[in-house]
Amino acid sequence: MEQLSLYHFLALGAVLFALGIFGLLTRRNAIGVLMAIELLFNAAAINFVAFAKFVDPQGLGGQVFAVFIITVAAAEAAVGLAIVMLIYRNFRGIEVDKINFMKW
Amino acid sequence: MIHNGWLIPLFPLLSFLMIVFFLKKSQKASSYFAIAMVLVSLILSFILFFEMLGEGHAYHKFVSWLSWSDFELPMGIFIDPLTAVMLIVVTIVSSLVHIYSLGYMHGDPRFSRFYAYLSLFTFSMLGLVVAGTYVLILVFWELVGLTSYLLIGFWFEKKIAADAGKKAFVTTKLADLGFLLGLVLLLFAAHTASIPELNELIESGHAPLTLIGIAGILMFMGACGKSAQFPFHVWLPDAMEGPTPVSALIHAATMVAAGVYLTARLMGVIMVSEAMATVVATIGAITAVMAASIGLVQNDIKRILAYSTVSQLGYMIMVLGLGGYTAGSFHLFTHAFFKALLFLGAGSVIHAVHTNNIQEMGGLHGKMKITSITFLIASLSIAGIFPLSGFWSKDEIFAVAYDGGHYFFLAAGMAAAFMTAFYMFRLYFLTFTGAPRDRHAYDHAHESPRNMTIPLIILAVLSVCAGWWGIPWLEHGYGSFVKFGHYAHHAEPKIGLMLASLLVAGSGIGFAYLVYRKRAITAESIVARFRPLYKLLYNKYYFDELYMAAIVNPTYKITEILFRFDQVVIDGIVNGMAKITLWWSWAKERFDTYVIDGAVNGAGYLSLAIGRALRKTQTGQLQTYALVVFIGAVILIFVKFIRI
Amino acid sequence: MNVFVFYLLAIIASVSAFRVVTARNVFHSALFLVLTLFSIAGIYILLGAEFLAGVQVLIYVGAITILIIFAIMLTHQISNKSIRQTNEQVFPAVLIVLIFFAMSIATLLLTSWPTATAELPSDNVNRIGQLLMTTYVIPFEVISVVLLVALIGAIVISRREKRSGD
Repeated sequence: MEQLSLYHFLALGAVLFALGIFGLLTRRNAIGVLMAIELLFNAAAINFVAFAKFVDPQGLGGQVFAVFIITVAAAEAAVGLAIVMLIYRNFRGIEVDKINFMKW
Repeated sequence: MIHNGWLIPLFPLLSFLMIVFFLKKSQKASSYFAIAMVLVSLILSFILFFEMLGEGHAYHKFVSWLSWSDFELPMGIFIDPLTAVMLIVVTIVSSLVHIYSLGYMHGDPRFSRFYAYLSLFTFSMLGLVVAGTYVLILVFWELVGLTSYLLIGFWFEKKIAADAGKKAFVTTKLADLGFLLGLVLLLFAAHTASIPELNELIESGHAPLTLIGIAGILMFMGACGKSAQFPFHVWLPDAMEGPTPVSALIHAATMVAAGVYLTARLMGVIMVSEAMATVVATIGAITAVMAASIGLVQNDIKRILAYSTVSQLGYMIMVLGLGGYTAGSFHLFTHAFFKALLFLGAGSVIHAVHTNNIQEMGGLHGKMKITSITFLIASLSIAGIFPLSGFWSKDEIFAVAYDGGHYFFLAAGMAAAFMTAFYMFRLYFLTFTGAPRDRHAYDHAHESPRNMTIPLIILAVLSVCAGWWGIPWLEHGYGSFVKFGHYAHHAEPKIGLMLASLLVAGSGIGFAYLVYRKRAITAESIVARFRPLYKLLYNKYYFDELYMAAIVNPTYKITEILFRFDQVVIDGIVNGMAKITLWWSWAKERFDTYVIDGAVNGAGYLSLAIGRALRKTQTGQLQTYALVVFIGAVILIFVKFIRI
Repeated sequence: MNVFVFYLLAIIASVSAFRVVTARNVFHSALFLVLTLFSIAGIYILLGAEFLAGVQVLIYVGAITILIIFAIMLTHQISNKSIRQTNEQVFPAVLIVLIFFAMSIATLLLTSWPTATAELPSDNVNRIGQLLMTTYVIPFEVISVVLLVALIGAIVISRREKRSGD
């Protein structure tokens, strides 16, 4: 059996990140898009923590940063969902591709 | 005065200039000033004449005029006895005509202009006779031609008068072509055009005689034009359309005499060649006889006199050709006076009865005594009746012909003399005697005013006396004054010849008397017997018709062709250029509209199209933007990290 | 042992994440998100970040996901089951994502990471706390402000417009 190495975790991070991008570009429901964004945050956090363990174990900077990431994700989710509520209130639907008023 | 002879022509010139620039408005001022000036010239001419009579030497003075590398063309005067005589003739006749015109042209709207023209003419003629080189003579020659045109066509509102002026000018111009060619040839051959130099050259025998001879013939051609010799005579009868004083001055006494004067000056040139002299004499003889024959049957009083002038000029030319320098110039001298008198008298008659046709006159002696008597004197003189002036000059001519053995020319002269006497008296009898044929005209006829009759009287006196100067028995008569070289000037008086000429003249008068006074033979019966001949004479030998068909009409045809060419080709080219220019500007307009504007507008449309296309990218779709951003990011990463 | 656990958690996390972005029902998406987050917490433990795992579960799963579910409920449309959840961009998105994924893998494999083989400190909670108050104190304070602003912002944004009349 192989040893767990940095590459495993980075690969996982890559997968999650790719999926998150896919969701961001593809989901019609605004909340779906927000959830995809959460995936992105998580992928980034995994990367940070993996680096903390394998590159700079004594510094632990990665883990601290991951905390920050989570905090920011929370703030962003709050504001984002508030906006979604507002959109829902005005348009009675939250399909992202229907909200295209700033166009040609 | 001889040395200052060049002054004499300047007074009439001054008159012309003054009238043209200042005096035109006042008829009185113009005419009186002109008369005054010509009288000054007259006085100076007399002074010169008497000086010349006493001294008798020819004088010349030249100044430099044109000169280039090896050639000199001076200008100057040459005054010899012939000049003196000419000056007298011209100034006397001109002054009398000036005075006569006061009455004749009274009331004419262009009265002042008439006097201006008269002055200009007098200046030109006087200049011609004092000129010292043939070039200068040509200059004045042309001036004389110009003033003649102006005066003949003076009443240019009448088409016939305007045409007559044109005819005179064109015919003499054609003849002047000969003068010009001859002059050029002369300059080429003899390298001089001055009269005294040329005469010396010929005398010395070093001259290229053939060339000079040809030049002389050509210049003589010019003289034929001015003096209305065959075949250039056609303009003179038509010129009678001008006012009668003009006819008297120009076509009796002076301008036509210019040709004779030129021929006299060319004497030296002419006489070197036997052939050339014969040509000259022959032309003169033909003219004399032909013109006299035409004059027999004409009915217009001025026409008769015109043909008479042509005939008398023929006499002068003929005798010059025979070497009679003295005789020719003498006849010119006497002819001037009686011919002028005849014309002025005719003018007086016309003024009275308002017609030129002698068939409508008759019995005017009763109404116009002075005119009638002076006219009679002139008629007798021209017929050559002793002891009037015409007798002596005509006799000189016959003497020269006889002495030289030129019997043919003598006979021609006699024949012409007979005819002259006949037609002159035919004219006199029909006009002044017998019963008036037009009662109405006769009733209104009256004698002319004094300013017309006084010149008549003066001329009548001259017609009687002027010839006495040339009486052959005189020791120091005309012959010893005017002579050329060694040519005959002092012919022995031949009683026989004189009697013969008197006989000829007398029979002419007698025949006229028979036909027109006594009616012994009626004119109609003569005409009936010689009808074809009569027709020929009456139509002037059809010369005008001949010239019209042979020269004038072809020229018109050529003009027409050239005009057509100009219209079609030249104008075609010009219009074609215009059309090309128009087409070009149309093409440019199209180009401008489609290409230039197209490009400009196209750029605009292009911008709009691109804009329209590009704004579709603003879909408003969030996720589209996200996709694009992400694609950009991927590309960036790809580019950056491909080096791994 | 660790490897096996890792693969297990990784597969769960990946599959759940896949279902998050492809579920037809958005509520299902949220639930799968919960599962994913839980798996990631497990990963954190494998990586020796126990505190972080706890924070993840508490905040991410406990608060954020609840918030999302609330929002889903509040924006729930009666007849939305038949509406498709994916937009027209699927095909280019798939493509680009695959390319990106390939590039990422290639990058991470090819980079020589400066790995250290030291051990993580055992008292990492302690250490994190210390770090927060010393080295990372400024970000810490700023983050607090961010949270505050976000809260206020969210409230202001979602307030009803008209006060009077309603």
